[in-house]
Amino acid sequence: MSSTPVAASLDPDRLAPDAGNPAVAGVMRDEVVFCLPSTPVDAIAKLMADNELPEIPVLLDRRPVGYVHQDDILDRLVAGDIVIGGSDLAMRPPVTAVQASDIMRTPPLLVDESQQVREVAAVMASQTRQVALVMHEDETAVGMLTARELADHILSHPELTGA
Amino acid sequence: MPELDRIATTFGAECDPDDTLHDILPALRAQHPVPLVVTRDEVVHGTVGLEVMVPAFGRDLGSVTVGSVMRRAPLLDVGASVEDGVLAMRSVRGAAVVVTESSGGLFSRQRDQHPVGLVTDVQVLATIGRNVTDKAPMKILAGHRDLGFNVPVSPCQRNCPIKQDIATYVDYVSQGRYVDSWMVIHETNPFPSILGRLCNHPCETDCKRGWDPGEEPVTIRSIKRFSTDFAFQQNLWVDYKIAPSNGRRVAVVGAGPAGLTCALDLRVQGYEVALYEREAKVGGLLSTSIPPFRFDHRQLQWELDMILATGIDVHTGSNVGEGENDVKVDDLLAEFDAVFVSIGMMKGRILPIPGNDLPQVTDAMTFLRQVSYDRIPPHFPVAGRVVVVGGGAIATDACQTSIKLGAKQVWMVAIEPEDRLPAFGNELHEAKEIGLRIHPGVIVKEINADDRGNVASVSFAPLQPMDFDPLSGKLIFSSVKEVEGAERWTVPADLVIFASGQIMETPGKEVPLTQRGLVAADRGGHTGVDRLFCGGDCVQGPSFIVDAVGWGHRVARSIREYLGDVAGPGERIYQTIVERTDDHRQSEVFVRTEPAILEAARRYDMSECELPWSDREAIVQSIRCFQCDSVHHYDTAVCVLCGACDDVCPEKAIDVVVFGEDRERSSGGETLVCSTSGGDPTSGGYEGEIYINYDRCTNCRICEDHCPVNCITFERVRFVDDTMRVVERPRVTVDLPLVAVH
Repeated sequence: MSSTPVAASLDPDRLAPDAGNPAVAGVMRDEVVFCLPSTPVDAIAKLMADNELPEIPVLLDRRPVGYVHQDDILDRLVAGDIVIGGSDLAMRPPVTAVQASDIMRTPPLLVDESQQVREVAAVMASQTRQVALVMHEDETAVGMLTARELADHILSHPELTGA
Repeated sequence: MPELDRIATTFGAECDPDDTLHDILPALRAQHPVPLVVTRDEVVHGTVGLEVMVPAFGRDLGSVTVGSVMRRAPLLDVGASVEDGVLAMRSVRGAAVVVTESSGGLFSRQRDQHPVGLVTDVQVLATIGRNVTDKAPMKILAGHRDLGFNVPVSPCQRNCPIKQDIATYVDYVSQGRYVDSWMVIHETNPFPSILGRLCNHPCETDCKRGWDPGEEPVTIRSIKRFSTDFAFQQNLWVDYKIAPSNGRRVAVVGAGPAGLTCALDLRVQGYEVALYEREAKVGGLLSTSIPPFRFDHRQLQWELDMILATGIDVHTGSNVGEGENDVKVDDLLAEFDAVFVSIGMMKGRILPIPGNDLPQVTDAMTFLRQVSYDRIPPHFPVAGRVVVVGGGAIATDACQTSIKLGAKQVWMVAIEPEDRLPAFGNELHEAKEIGLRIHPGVIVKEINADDRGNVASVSFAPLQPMDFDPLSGKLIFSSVKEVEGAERWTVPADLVIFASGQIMETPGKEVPLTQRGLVAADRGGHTGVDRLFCGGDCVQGPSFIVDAVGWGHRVARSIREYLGDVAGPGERIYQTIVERTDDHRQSEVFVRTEPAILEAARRYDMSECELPWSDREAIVQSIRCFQCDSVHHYDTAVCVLCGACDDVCPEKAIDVVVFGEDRERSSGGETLVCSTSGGDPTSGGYEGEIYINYDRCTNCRICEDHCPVNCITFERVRFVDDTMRVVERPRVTVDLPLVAVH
C-alpha cells in the first residue's frame, strides 16, 4: 500500500504531466517594460533599474524591433555621451542626446506564450540573452521572461533544483 | 562627477566559491538585483547574480558551483568616479565593483585598502536615470489585461482594426480643436472622409459609454466625419514629410484602400513606390463600387491627391495578370525589392442558373463600376423593372442606384428573412423610403427570356426556415432548403443584377492560392514566396474598408521588416506628448444622436444622403465620450494616502493601500498610479500605494474634486510622429485623366 497521503496524490501540480516545465505564459511576468526608438537612454536606464532588467525591448507601433542592453548604456557613460549630473533641486538639463535607436541591438528575442519554459530558457542561454519577450499570436507582446521568473519558478518547484 | 561612495551600498549576503547554486538560490533571489559577494578567507573573489539561472535552468543546480559561474569584481577606491567604476567593471565583464577605503588616516603610512561596499551595474543605471522626470517613457504594457501605455488603451481603440486614437480626436472636437482632431485621425487613417461615413465602426460596438444598460455608445464615426468635413471646407492639406530615399523600390498592385495605405506608409519612409492599377482612376472599390450618394466623392479625390502627392509613381490602366498585354508578377518580382498584391475581389459573381447569359443580366460590381464613370450601364431600363439578387450592402447600393437612375420598379430578392439580411438596417430603410421592394426567403431558379431573347422575368423558389450562426449571425448555407412542391414566385424584369458575392481574378501563377480561391498569406501579408506580399480582400475575403486599411499598415511594416529597414534612417521620430484633460461630466445629460438623412423626396438623385453635423451637434456628441485614454496622475510628493479618492469613487475603481493598515482591495485594479511614503510608519508616518481599475473608471473626476490636498490631475500620454503638417491645399493637385470605361 502506498504511503503517499491521498491529498498529496491529488495535488494538481503533481498530477500535471510536467508541472516543472509549463508553458511560458504561466511563468512569465505579466507586463512588458519597453521603450521606443526615440526614448533617451537615461529614461531607459531608469526603466532597467526600476524593473530589474538588463535588457529593454524596443517597440515601434507596439511591435518589437530590437532591444537595448545595459552594457551599451554603460559603455556610452564611459565614452562621455551620458553625463551624470544635476541635483534634484536644480533645473534639469538633458543628460544625454543618445536615444534607444542609437544603441539598439537586433533582433529581439521573441517567444510564443505556448512554448515550454525549459525550451525558452535554452534559447535564452544559447543566445546569451537575459530577456525573452513573450508574444500572443505572434502579434502582441504580453509578457517577459527573465532570470527572476526562472528563479521564482525553480523555488516554487523544489524538484527542479536537482536536490 | 559623482564618486563611488555616493552610490555604494554595503555588502549583502556572501557565499563561498565552492557553494552550489542550489545552496545560494534563496539568498540570491531575496537579494536580487544586488548580487552575492563571493569571498573566501576575507578576500573578495567576485560576485554572482541571478543571471546565472538562465543557463543553469534545467540543470542540476547542486552540481554548479559558484566559482564556475561568478563574475570578477575589481576593487576601486571610494574616491573614484562612477565612470571609472564602470570602466573597471566593463573591462573584466563584471557586474559590480568592490569599493575600498584606506585603513589609515590621510597621512598614515599604512595604506591597505579594505572593502567597504559594492557598486553594481543596477546602481549605476539608477544613477543615470535619477533625474528623469518625463513619465511618458515609463509606461508598461500590462500583459493580456491591456495593450496600453500604463493607461489601458481605450476599448474603442482596442477594437479598431487600425488602432485610431479615438478618445483623443473626439476630445479635440469637444474643445473646438477640429484641425488637431483631423490630424490625429490622419495618423493612422488616410481615408477619414469615407470611414467617417461608411465604416462598420467596431469602435462603437465596444465603447465604454455603451457598457451600462440604457446607455448608448458615442457616435464616433460621425465625429470623424465632422472633423474631416471641416478640414475639407477650410481647404486644408496634409503635407507628408518624406524621409530621404533609402534606395528600395516596392511595387504595389491594386490601388484600393489596402494598396494606397501601404504605398503611403512606405513612401513616407523613403521608399520608391510604383502603384499599378488597372482602372483609369485610383481608389479601388472606393472609387468604382461605392455610389456617389454614399459620400462626397470630392473629398475622396482630395484624400487620394494627398496620398499621390507624396511622389508615388502611379500606373493607371495597367492590369497585372497573365494576359498578353498585362504586367506580369514575375517581372515585378525581378524588378522590385518587394511586391504587394492587393487586388481585392472586384469581379461580381453571376449564379449558374438558366438564363444567366442573357444580355440584360449583369453583376453589381460591373453595374456600379459603370455608374462610377458617369455612364448609364448598358441595357439599363429607364422607367423599367430591375431585379437585384442578393441582400447585402452592395445589393442595396445597386438597388438605390437603379432607383436614382430612373427605374420604375426595383426588387431586392434575397435568401434570408428580412430581419436577417446582411445589409445595414439604416441603408435598407433609406432604400425602402424611395421605393425599394424586398422579397426575402426565396432562391433564384431561372431567368426567363421573351421571344426576342431579352430578359422577361425571374423565377424564385420559396425556402424553408433556415439556420444562422449564433456568433456571427451569418447564414449557414447547408440549412438552405427549398419548400418541396411549392409554387415559384415569378417577377417581371427588364434587367437582372446579381449581387451574390465577389470573386478574385488570379493575378499570376506565382501567387499561392487557398482552396477557397483566395490568396494564401498570413496576417502580415507573407506568402512564402520571396519578396511577394499579399493582403486585403484577396486574402481575407470580402470585408470592410477599415480592415483593408489595416492590411495596408500591416503589410507595409512586414515589407520594412523583410527588407531590414525597421530601424533604418527612415524611421519616424516619435515625440511624447503629455497633456492634461478636462472633465466631460456634463455628458450624462446628452443622448446619442446620429446625422440626419436627406428627406426622401430629395433622394432621387445622386446627392449625398447623410447630412453633415453642425458644430453644436458634433461638440455635444463628443462631450459624451468618457475619455478612457486619460489616466490619473497623483503628485506623490503631496499625496498623504488619506483614502478620500477611494471612498468617493462611485465606480469603486480606486484602491488606496496603506501598508500596515487593513484596507480592503476591492476594485480589482492592477494599474499602480501612486507609490508614496511620508516617513516611518512606526513613528506616525505612512507608506502605501494606489491602484486603479480602468475597466471601471469612467473619468468622472469626483476623486479629483474631493482630494483634500489637490494632488490628482488627469493626463493623456500620446506618441506622435513628425511626418505630417497641415498646410493650405495646393492649387495644383495630381490630376489623373478619366478615360473611357472598358
